[in-house]
Amino acid sequence: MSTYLIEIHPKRAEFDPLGRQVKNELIEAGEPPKTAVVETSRLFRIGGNVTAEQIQNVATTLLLDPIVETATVEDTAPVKGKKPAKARGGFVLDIWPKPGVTDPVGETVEKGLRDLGISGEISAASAQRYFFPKASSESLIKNLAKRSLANELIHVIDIRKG
Amino acid sequence: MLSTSEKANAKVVPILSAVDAELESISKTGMLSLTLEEMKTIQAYFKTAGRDPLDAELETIAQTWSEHCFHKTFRGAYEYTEVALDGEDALAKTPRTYENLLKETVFKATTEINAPWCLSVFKDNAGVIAFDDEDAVCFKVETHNHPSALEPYGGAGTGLGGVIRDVLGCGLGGKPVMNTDVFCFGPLDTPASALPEGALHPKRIAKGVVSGVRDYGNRMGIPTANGAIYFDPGYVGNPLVFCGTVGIIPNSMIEKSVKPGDLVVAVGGRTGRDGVHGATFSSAPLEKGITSSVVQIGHAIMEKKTMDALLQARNKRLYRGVTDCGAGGFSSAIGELGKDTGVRVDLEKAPLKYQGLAPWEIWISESQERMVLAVPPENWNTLRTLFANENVEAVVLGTFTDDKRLTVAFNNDVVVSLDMDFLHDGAPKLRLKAEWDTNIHRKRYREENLPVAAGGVSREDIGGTLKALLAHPVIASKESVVRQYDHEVQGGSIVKPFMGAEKDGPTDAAVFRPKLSTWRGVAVSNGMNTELGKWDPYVMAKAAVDEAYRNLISVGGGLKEAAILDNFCWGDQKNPHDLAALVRASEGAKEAALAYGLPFISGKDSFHNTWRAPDGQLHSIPPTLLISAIGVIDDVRQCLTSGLRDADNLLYVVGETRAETRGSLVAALWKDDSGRLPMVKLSESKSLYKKLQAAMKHKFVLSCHDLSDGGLAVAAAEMAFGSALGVELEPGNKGFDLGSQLFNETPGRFLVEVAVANKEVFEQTIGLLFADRVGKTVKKPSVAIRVDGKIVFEETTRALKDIWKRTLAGM
Repeated sequence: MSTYLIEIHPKRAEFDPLGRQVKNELIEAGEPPKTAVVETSRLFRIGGNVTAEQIQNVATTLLLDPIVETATVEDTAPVKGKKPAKARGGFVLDIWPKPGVTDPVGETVEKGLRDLGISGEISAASAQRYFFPKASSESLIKNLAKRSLANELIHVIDIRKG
Repeated sequence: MLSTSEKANAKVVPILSAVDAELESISKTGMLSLTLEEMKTIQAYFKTAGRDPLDAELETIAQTWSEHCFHKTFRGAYEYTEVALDGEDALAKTPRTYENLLKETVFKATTEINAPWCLSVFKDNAGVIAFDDEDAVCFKVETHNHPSALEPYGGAGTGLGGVIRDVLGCGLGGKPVMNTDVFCFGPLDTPASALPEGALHPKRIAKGVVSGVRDYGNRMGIPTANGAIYFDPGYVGNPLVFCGTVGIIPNSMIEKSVKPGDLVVAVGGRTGRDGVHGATFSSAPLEKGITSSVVQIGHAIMEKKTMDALLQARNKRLYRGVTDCGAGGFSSAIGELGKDTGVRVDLEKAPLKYQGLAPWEIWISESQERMVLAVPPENWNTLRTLFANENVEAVVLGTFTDDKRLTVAFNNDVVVSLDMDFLHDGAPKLRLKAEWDTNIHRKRYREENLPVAAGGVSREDIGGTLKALLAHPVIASKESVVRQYDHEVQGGSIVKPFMGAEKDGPTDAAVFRPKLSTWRGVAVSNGMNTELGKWDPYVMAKAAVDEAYRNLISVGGGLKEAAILDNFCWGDQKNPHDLAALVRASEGAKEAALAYGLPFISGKDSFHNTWRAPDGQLHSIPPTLLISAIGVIDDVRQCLTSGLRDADNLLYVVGETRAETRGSLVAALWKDDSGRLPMVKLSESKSLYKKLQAAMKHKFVLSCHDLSDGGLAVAAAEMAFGSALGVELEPGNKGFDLGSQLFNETPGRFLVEVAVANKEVFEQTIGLLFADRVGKTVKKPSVAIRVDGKIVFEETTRALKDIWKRTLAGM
């Protein structure tokens, strides 16, 4: 059983309307316009008896719009000697549905996996990622998440340094 | 047979020897929302059965008897008295008693009108009226208030998804052809300090609700072509979300049936823990400490697939009965379908989203996008293949029986065994006291509760008042919201939400062709007046029916049969004053429906719309009644819109303008409550509307707009917005001040454009008493107001339109 994290992100800022919208909300929340930079991406956590090759195929043929997006795939299993990713600064905010809350996108991806011929026990969940490369206050990001990006009743909010 | 011993798949709930306090505690801790009297009734039933109930049985009863499913407050017995009146009409013969308020008001109107075009009323998931020789139209409007308060996107989306399934579950299934949505929010500029603890800000609620409706409706391929948005501080802690769907259904498929031996087939989405206790949750006040399980998240694509498969199966007559899984999930849907026969269900056959659900959770889960069918066994294989081809799961959950019992098992372990008669008819009747007290009403809604709209404009400042009204969120253009909805999909749209030279002038009703093979169409409109409800719900209800009807009439087209739906959203159902307000509104709605010959064909009520303010006080929302109207239009090519047609035409107010500013938006703006409350002169209006329709038929009327929020001046400006022309208003001297003439909201009025050549015939048709010439159309694109021949206000149409469009531009 493996678990992979696929991140689909816009190739350029002009392909990221959600980022622009959240930027305005970040400024409203108190971030100075100069440091109010927001990048967004879509996350998919896929688990099951799937190979790295299959996952790469899922990322590029099922989840990606290759004209405006790029994909990165991460095997979440700990690997001995694996170097941690280089810190990019700022903060990363991931918003996942709570266990048991309907995740229509995740359900559709799971169906797509089966349509691609992947059988057996598989699972898929979807989330939204926000990256604030220049933000300096975690509490401000937390407030923004609670105030307008997530609903704690149904979402898990995960904030960490970028 | 059940025994009282512990079972592997259900827990015994010991109630046989429980005292009152214990019964109440069982109801509260189990989120059952059952009253003590109801618990005692259940206790007595199980005493006769000689055993304690299992958890799944109590849950089943709680869902079936919930406010959401059973309408127990509205169906209750009332004793209505008037403690104090101050200018409101006394309801004749008080104290007045009702054995069943719903039956003796709303239902009674429908029964007395006995309209031949009503084909199915108050017995199915939607009301049905005649359309043509082959088809009928069905219509349902529902509320989804508490879920939308907690999770606006999911709550509103599933509200719409649910009402779409109501149409799919009407008869053998209507094909959804149009959606309508009405929202009530707190003001978008509400300070954070005024929010109840844990409540979301109105701005966030509004954004989420609009997005939820947009995404669900657009993905379903159903046009959202009608709606309204109201703002009032009374909705800060408890927004209202009304979602409606119109469907078209063959005349031969209006009735459904179930026969013993038919298979219970579940189709659509899988069952999870989402929505567990949704129905009983709606039967409780909105307070903090809610669990996520009551929130549902929609999956529109799943519903679209289910709809496509279902309509194919319907056309092949593969099933005999259908209903949707809404509040109460399988428990309500299967319980209702098997009410007259009996049914046996094996819950382990239900496809689950994930393992670990207790049988009672599977049974009452409100996971979305599920329907239940009664399928003759010989059709099962064909039906299963059809659904499989559409990528939709269909499973047999059980069989309809002839024992008039509800039997539910899990792995052959019976977890529910109840008499259908007890389940559906065993609930004790609520006996309620309703005491109307003007002083309480005034105090609550006019004095201490919440501020009315921002003031600061004087009665004498005509221009300032007009601009302030155009900028008022209730009146301001909702284009930023409407443009998010697809109102063109399916290709039947005729009168759209915005029309005119720049396609941004407002319209009064949506008109569309449900069948592209005929010019016959359907018009849908609504009426609601929260401000009047703060004074007198009796007047409010009459005005709401009147407004909805006038909106239908305004679009012309040879309106034929029409009908209405009610949606009562009320506050504290334990408060005698709130209940008296309900009685007054029900009576007002009944009187107006009878006077206009508009039968109610379906409806909904939502109680417990209360919220706790930061000061700890429990507030009820303002009494709110949405009347949704539907009518069949003979020829959509003859329809009118509100945009002006040409310069130098005459403008008439059809109807009587009286000095009645109380309960209007302008009164709140002027901070002046001194005027009179409007009268709704029903019989006078009925005859006038017939005359106006005759004038429309003879093409004497070129454009028409109903007069409602903001009165004459706002209506005239809006008619100019829908054209490249302007207006000059000169209302003359009616014996009261100019401001009231221009801005009051006396019901029963229209503003119409008439060519000079038709002046005499138009005046003869309407009668001079009610054809009040108030100005003319002009080539210059401006809105001007004249008094004694002199212009006292003039502004370009562009500038006024900008004001009108600015307030909600970023919504």
